[in-house]
Amino acid sequence: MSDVTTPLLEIRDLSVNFAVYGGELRVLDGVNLRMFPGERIGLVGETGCGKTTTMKAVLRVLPMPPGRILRGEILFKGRDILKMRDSDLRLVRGQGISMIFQDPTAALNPVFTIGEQMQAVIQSNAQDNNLSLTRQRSWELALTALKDVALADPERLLKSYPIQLSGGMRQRVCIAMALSTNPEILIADEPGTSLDVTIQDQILRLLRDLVESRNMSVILITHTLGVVRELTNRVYVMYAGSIVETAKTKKIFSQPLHPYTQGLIATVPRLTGGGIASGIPGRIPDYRNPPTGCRFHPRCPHVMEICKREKPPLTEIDQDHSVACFLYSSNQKVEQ
Amino acid sequence: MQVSTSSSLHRSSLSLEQIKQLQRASRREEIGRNWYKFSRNPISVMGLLVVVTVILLAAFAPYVAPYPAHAGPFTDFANAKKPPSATYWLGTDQIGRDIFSRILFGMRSSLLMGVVVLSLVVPPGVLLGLLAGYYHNTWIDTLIMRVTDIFLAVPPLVLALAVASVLKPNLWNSMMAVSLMWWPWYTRLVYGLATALRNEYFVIAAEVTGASTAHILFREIFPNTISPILTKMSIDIAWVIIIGSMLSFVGLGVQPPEPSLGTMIADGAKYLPDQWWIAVFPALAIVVIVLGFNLLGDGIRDMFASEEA
Amino acid sequence: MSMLRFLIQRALYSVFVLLGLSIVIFVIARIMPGDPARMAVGARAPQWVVDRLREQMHLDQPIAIQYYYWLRDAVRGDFGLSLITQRPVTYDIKETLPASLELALYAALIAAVFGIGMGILSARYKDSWIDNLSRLFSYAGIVTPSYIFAILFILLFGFALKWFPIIGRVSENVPLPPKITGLVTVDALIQGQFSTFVDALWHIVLPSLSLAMGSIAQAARITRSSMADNLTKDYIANMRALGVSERAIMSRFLLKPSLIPTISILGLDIAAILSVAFIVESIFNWPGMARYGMNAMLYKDLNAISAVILVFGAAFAIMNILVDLIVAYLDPRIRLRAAKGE
Repeated sequence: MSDVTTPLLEIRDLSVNFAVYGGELRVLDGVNLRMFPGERIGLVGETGCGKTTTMKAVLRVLPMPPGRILRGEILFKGRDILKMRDSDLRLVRGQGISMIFQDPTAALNPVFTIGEQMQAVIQSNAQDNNLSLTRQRSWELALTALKDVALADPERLLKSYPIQLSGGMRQRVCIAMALSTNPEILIADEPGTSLDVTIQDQILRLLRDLVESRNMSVILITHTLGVVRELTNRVYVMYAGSIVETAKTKKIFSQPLHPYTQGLIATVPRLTGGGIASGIPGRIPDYRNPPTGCRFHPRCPHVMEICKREKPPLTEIDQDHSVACFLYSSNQKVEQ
Repeated sequence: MQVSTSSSLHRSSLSLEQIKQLQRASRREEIGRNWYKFSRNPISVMGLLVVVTVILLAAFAPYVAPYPAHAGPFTDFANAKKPPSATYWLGTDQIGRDIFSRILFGMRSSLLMGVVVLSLVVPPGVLLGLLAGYYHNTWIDTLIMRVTDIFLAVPPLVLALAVASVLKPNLWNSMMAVSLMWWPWYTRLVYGLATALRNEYFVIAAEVTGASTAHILFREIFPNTISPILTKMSIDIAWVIIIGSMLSFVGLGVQPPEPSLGTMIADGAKYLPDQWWIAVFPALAIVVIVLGFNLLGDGIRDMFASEEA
Repeated sequence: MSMLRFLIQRALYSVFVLLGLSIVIFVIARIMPGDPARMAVGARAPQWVVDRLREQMHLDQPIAIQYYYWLRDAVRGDFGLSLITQRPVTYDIKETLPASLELALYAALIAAVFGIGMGILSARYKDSWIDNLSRLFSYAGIVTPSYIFAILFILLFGFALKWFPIIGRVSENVPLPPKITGLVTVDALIQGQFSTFVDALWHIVLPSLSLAMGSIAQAARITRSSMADNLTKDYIANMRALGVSERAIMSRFLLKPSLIPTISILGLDIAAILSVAFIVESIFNWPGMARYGMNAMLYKDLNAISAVILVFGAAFAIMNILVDLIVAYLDPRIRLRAAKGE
């Protein structure tokens, strides 16, 4: 039952390289993603598969150089973010799309108080709408934002520096900052992963409540499938720089098609960084010389000759269920 | 990928001798890789070329210089203060000596200064740093580092000038003076490294297996401090040369008629602006030497830096 | 208040270091061959005069006792008579210190303003011709000793272009303003003698620029690299992602963290400026303490040498504390760590 309205966000064939000493890393290799209003997307895959890079590219905050966009489009409400002028881009950043960065400690400027940073965000976004806020007003808005993420004593927090806060508090501050702009799309990059499990749990619950009460569209980057099942209604599975499969969340769990997805589901409860404990042997490929054809082929249990030569396109093979794998190509019917 | 502190020791199936062989092999390979990296950077290679050229010119000064006799107590008032020409490439000084020849000989004392000072300074500086770092938070650390702080309390040039001033002014005493003030920088550098390294698994492992203190200091900790030390040395040699030239500039270093770049500049300064070449060419010579060592030093630093990244 | 404790700790440690330095200086002064008493009265004085002076100077006592007397007098501000000027060393220092301070002050100002400014421009227009030019300049500044800059400046701006005077603090026909701070430019301003101010300012340009060149280069280099480094940090990406304007990011959220390393290095560099002043002051005939110290060294005027070095040590210590304070002010991480007592 797919929406027929225009997508809120659409990524088409996004390819990104990173220059490194003595070569180029081909980090993103034709990423495709489509998001409709109100959707809650889970973007899953192993660490290093390009999830964060994709989302940073959406907001045009990839460091360039060394990053370089080879081709592709990122359409926000039909307009290409990559081609926007700075003034239009500012309207997208913050109030259009905002992002919770993966590591809250790195995402907060160590030499400014929380208040200074939040006020800058709030005031800049007000300015983009030709509103001017008094210092007092932006302070109050920052206070409200902190209260919304259930932080105690927000007055004192605003006057504190990041180093004075615990990891969990920093994570909440980052969420408050990202939400203070009232974004249409919230990108959350592995929220809480740097924290211990109980706090991570609190953070995720908080995030779910906030998202539900505000009816926001969300892209949740994670490698924890349990979180995906709980918080999202659609899943994009990413492997080595491309989307390999997408479907409704329930469908992905009940009927995974791509061998990589099947491997992922088999390794539940939890994936760790680096490699995968069981399920899929091998590790993420070297981006300097990625495998030809399907990048997953060296690890794939069902590898065929064609997989080594050609890259399988992402094709819809069932209603609302697309996969990039030759096992399901053309007129072959889905087997279970 | 990572090796945990103690468990890997028990698990290791290699003998100590085998591990050492592997270490040696990997170190050889590392040198090759570093050289490759270094040679890929044209600026570092240029630095190396400048330095090698300067060293060769200085070493063979008696054969290269057009007028080797001019490096000593030579006078030729008929040809004094001649501007640069085909006979005197860089002109002549106030008493008619060929400036080019004197620069070549002057470079000798500059280079000698750099080499001698560093070889006097680095061993004790490094040793003290190793000791203080390894015996972190003991009286040894306190004693060494407090004394180091005292020597670092005044810029090295000031104390070097003071020491040089009470000694008889000559090249060797100015080397002494600079050396006396330079070791603390190495102590401080190595101290910082050693305090961190003493908690590394390989040091703890050596301690557990009962290795001697000397073994731990020199075979375990020291090899891991070599690249920062080399980097610092390659940049310091330029500094020592500058300070040496300053000492001779003010008359506390090499004494006339021995040529030294500093004294040549000081003498030439009196004949500005009309006989500008007397001061300017020795000054340029210093800039070229220092530039060469700096480029080389940057190359060495980058070579080691990208290895860690 | 914990900052205050930090400050007191630093100050106490500096006193300790200066004490240590005084021992070093004392030892240096005593390794000189020859009899200080004989040196003081001259070669032709009769032996009994020398002997009496030896007694007065406690030279007949063990070296530790000698040090005690020397230190006791030094703490009271008595460094004895200067051999060259035949005046109390303390008096000479009081006379010459302001000129050195003024020079160092202007050099520091030039270094900070131009160095940081160049670094920011370089980072902002990375890899443009501005950046390349400023990097080239930085390299030249780092590899050229300041006394060579002094000579080149004299040649170029003094003799060839005749833009700036090359000797002294003011022109010969200009009377020095009455002494208030001892800094001629400041005193002239206080007195409202505007033409004297301009004249003094004109005189200070070349010496202070010669001193500052190395630091300008250093500051530009560090500012550039730390800005480039911080530009890739997540906290900058975060601000951008949340729609903060590029201007606010550049002028505020990027600048402040990037200046911290520059300022700590610049602080140390200014100490180095002081030391190079020994030579630059002599070249420009600048009547400062460094030139006084330089002359003292050339004539083996031990009392003056000791005093000058101790004053330098003190200035260096104060400078270090000041830099620590500025950095602590800019960097809450350091401030808060200091507050916790580490």
